[in-house]
Amino acid sequence: MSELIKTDIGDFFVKHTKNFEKEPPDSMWENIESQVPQYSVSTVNNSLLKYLVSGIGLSIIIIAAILFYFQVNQNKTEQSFINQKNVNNPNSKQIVDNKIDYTDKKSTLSSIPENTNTTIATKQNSNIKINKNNLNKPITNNVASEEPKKTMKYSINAATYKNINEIIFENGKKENVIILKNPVPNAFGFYEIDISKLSSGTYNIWIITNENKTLHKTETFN
Amino acid sequence: MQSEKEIILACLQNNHEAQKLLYKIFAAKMFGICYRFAQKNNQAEDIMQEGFIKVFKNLSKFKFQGSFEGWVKRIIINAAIDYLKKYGMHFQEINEEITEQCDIVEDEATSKLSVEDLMELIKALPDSKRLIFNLYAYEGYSHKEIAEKLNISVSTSKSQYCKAKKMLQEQLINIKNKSYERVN
Repeated sequence: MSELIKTDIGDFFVKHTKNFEKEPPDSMWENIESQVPQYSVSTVNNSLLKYLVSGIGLSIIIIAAILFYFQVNQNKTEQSFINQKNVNNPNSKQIVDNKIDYTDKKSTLSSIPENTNTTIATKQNSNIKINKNNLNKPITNNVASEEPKKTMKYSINAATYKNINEIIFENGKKENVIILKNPVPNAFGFYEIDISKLSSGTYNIWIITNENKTLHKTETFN
Repeated sequence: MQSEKEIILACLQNNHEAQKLLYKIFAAKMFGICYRFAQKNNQAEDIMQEGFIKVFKNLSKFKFQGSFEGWVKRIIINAAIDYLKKYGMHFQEINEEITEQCDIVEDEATSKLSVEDLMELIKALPDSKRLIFNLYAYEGYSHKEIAEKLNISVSTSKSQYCKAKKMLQEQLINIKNKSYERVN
């Protein structure tokens, strides 16, 4: 006699039917297929796409930060180079001096001796020259500049004459009051003659070169 | 031979062949489940169709975490529940908990029963009892989970399950008795 096995009804049915399969009718897929949605490409691997987009965004930010860092550093380097250049460049310094030491030149001007070949830059004079010219006077090659109190200089444009041996100031009595031998033009291309000690009167200004003696001008000084 | 993942990705690329292949892989198994939940053949087909349409509509949401078959099965079962609810399945609320042991002796008579015969016995159950019997015995839901899903009390779920077993037990005994009568 075979052993009788008592089984819970639920377990009995599951045991004998849990792997039950049944083929659906052929038309089933046609009904389903007609309602399958059209997927957009973005639905595929959404998480991968998100990581990709995040990665690209992060890379852009990092690259922008690096470029910005180098740009700032480059600006700093350029600025320091420019500063160094300015320090080393005498012209730039001179330009700065022109602007700032406008009044300082008075001291140097007063110390200039007579009849010497000097090439001291007298910016103040040139500035005064310009100012005087602006007072409804035509611009000339030579202008007498007014120095405070003592020093007066008379300028002749060096471009006017070549190979000047002497510049002579002759008074009304035909006396050579100032003789400037082998004059050297200053940095601005002018011969400067100190006329501080000239007394009032009219003078002939002679230019003696290798070739000839030329009357430059007759000037009256007060 | 393509892997399951490759087939799914191909489906999401609007590859119709891959979509048909995916359906064919799971069709027989899932239709068997639908057949068990439904009372009639046409109901099983409706549940199957609605279920698979939902599978394809939600395919992009599958994260390749866990079993794809399990994921499809859950959708099919939910489709079955929704279908039965839609077509007037109702539960008799029972506050009293009935827990009667229902056993069957496996003998020669029961061994002669085919799978289809047993399936027919399940399909003969009333909708509510058949649903709870399927969820508890076949799908492993607890009575608490069944109660939440069907919006019924736990005691109702237990009672309905017990009654389903009782009915099946009676059916099996009838079959056995008839078998013995023939022999005799």
